[in-house]
Amino acid sequence: MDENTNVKNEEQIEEINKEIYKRNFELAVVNKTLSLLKKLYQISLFEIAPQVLSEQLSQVIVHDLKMEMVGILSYDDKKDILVPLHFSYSDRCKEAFSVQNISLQNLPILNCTENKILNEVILARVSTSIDSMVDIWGNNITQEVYTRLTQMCHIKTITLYPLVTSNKVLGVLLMGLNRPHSEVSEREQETMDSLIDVVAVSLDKAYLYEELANANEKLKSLDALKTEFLSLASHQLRSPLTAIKGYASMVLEGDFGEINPQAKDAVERVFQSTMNLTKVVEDLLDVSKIEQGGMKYEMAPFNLCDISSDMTKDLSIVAEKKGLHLVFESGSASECMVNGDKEKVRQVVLNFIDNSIKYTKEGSITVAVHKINNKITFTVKDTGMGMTPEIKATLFQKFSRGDGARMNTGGSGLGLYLAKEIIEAHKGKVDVLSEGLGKGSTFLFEMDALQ
Amino acid sequence: MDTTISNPIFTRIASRIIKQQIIIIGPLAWDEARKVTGLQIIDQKKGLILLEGNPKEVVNSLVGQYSRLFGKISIEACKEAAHELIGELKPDEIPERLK
Repeated sequence: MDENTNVKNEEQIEEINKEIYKRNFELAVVNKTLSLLKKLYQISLFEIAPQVLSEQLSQVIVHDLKMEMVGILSYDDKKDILVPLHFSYSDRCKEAFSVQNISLQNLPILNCTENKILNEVILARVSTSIDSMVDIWGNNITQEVYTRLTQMCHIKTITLYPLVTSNKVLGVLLMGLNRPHSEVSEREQETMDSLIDVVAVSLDKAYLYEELANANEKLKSLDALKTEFLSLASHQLRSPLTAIKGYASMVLEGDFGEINPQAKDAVERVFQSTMNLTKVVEDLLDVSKIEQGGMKYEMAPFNLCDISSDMTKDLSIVAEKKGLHLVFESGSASECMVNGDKEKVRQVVLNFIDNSIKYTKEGSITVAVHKINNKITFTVKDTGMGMTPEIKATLFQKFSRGDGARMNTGGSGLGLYLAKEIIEAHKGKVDVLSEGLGKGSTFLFEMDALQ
Repeated sequence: MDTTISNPIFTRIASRIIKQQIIIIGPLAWDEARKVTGLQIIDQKKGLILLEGNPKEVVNSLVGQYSRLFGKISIEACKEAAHELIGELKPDEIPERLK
């Protein structure tokens, strides 16, 4: 090999070395950018308050990109104002602002679109670089302080990026560098450009969450107001209803002398309607108590079979009047013990059987209590109207009346909701099974058996 | 500027540059740094170095060492590694190759 070939080979090796170095450098920059984006993305996943989010995002950008200052500002287009969410600084910059007793955090930027630079960023939505803080904060800071800050912070360039999502400018990301813009390499510029979208999307998500949280709070307070109103109205209704019921009962029992059959029939209707209305008022009061957290449960062991058997007997007269066959079946009485509020559970048993009677035109209703493993299941199976899966899905919700409205059966639509709340307060569960319209239903609840 | 003890700011700049080069070329970065006059490697594992003589010139030579092998782009890598600390230097204190 002659000397020329050797030189040529060495030159080639040198070129290859440089090319490998270039590729490795590019790879290092890409890795650094990806690592930064990953950090920003992770922050956006776990932080939802705009200010805390901005604090964490800006801190990471300052640290990883060795910036002197990074600020995230929110733009209010109605007031044309940029409100600082957070500013993070390098150590020397932090010290400089502290010595000068200046906090950019407390300096909202007013009349943004009247400022040539900010107008370009906000309205034209293009990033721009400036070399002086005066261009942004103007007369908010004295010239003397500007000079000292520039000297101490070494900020030579401020780059402003519009934060845009869904065609709306959410704010501005501001980055302060210690070099003139001309010295920022293409790679660094690409890294800076790449994080803008992540910051914008994170901020957008945080605002959406904030809006949802506010709306939720508003709904909660409205719901509390409604519950309070219901409670008050129900209490006001209960007293006159008791009086109407009492006087109607006295009239029916002849306490005011004999009345003619026509009048008696009318008073009987008044009495029955008052009873129905009293039930609605009682249900409303129970719902209010549950929603205000004021429902009290007096827990004690009791026999679910006894309650179920008694209620079946009590309601069999009503069922017979409709020509329905109402029966009760159970295992041994010793297998029916549960721990709970007997009166509240009785209310649920009554509601299930009463509903079945209401919604069954012909056939039978079977009430049963069974123990399976450590659970006691109460069921009411009827040959009634059944239901579609759509009705089933909403049946235990407040004011849900299934097909009751269509059948004109009366009722507040609160019975099953109360049943669900009561059984769930006993750590049990309610359910309904039906193969479809016209195919009957089985209402059931399950509670832990008393060991 | 001549000093036999290490000047902290220049030592930090040199240290940052070597670390940046390690990311790009691996342990070879130490071998090249070792060739620079005035730069002593105290503990490679811990990344401890000492600059002797004129620290500004030592840093300049370190950048030159890498650029001789890998070209102009390695200067960009050095500048990127050092830019945060360069801000603390007066214009006449900045090593020529990092300007």
